[in-house]
This record gives sequence, C-alpha cells and structure tokens, in this order.
Amino acid sequence: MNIEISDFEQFKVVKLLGEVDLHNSREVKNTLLDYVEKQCHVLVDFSGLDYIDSSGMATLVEAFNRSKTKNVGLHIVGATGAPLQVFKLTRLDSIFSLFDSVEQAAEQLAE
Amino acid sequence: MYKQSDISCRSCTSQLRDIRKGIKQACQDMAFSDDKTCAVVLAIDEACANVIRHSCDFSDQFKLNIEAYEDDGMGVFIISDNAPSIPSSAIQPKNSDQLEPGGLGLQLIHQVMDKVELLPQEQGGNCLKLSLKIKA
Repeated sequence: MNIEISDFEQFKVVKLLGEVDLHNSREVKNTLLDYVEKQCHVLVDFSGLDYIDSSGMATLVEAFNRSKTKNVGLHIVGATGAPLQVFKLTRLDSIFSLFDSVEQAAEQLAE
Repeated sequence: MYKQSDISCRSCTSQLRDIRKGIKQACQDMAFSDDKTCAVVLAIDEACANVIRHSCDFSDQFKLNIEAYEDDGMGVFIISDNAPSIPSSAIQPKNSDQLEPGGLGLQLIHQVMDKVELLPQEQGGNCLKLSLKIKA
C-alpha cells in the first residue's frame, strides 16, 4: 500500500494505492488524522485502491468523526469495485459523501 | 464434498494478503460469482484479522489454518487456530446505531455469509465455520 498526497484547490487529496488491511491501516489513520488535526479539508482518493477491509473503514470513520469536531470536510472520491462494495455492505455509503472524481467533488462541494 | 483449498500460516497480519489470494482462487474454483467472490474474500479476511487481533493479541506465535470446500451447493470455509479460546458471544455483531469504528468486521462477516458458527474445540484453540450458498 502506498499513499500519495497532493493539493487540489482547497483540498488535501490523500490517494490510497493498492490494498489497505489490518497490516497497514494504521499508516492511513495517522495520515488522515494528521491532516484533519491541521484543519485541512480532505478528499480520500480511492481510484488506485484495489481492496479495503474493516480496519481501513474504521480509520475513515474515526477521521470522519474527528473532522466534524474540527469543522472540516472529509469525503471519498473514485471508489469502485471491491472498495465500493465494502461501503455498501457497511452502509457507510449513506454516511460519507462519495464522488466520482476529485474534480467532481471540488465542483459540487463549492456550490 | 470436494476440498478446494487448504491454507496454513502464522498468525501475522502480513499473511492476510496471501490468504485473500488463496480464498479468491478457491471461490473461483467453486464458481462463485465475481460479486460473491469479492464479498467472501472480505468476510474471510475479516475473520482472520479478528483472530490475529483478538485471539492472538497480534502475536505471530500461533498457527492459522483456512480450509475451503464445497458441500451440497454451499461454499464452506473453516478457520481454525491454536490461540486462546474465545466465547461464542465474541462472534455476535454489536447492535448499535452509533457511527463507531469498532465492530465493522463482524458486521461484514454476518452480512456476507449465510451461516456463522463457532465450533466447539475439545483441545483448545478456535474453529469458525462460515458458509454461503454458491448460487443465488
């Protein structure tokens, strides 16, 4: 698993690549919480992600809950295939805002 | 009953990737649909991760074995270990409306599989049997 960080407009884009599971989800957690603590608006880019387990989803929930107290946004972009199926199975697709792409998220969240 | 796969490894999170690979192959051999294969891989991965996390307390000194076979139209997955035994209540999902990070793995396992059973072990360890109908 690799994490790539970039900036797009007002967002910090955290792109997850490969597979997130119990072996490496702590790295994702530390990265997301770090940006949320710095009060960055975060887009978590799933477009390079092949797999995510519940420890990865728990990390997202923790960062999402923290983002609420910090008054910043944390949204998901580019989720397809198995990772999207995990969102649906956990019903977390009703909690998170899911966008097709970074560009679409930036456009719709600016409205 | 036709045995499809038998995976043995140490109780280490670095093994999860290979376990997923093995289970995916077993599901394809049993002719699960692509969607069901994804879901089963997830459920078995979650069960193994729970064993490593809760039964083994992240120690890699225990053995983990995953057996996969087809039985009367069902895909059956037996996950056994030699870690300290857990109570059957430990495999029941939490009933919570709160958005909490914990408990998602058990929720996923129960949502994906038709049957989740903790089989009694006379000589210690744990044995979890997960079953799912192959054809919808």
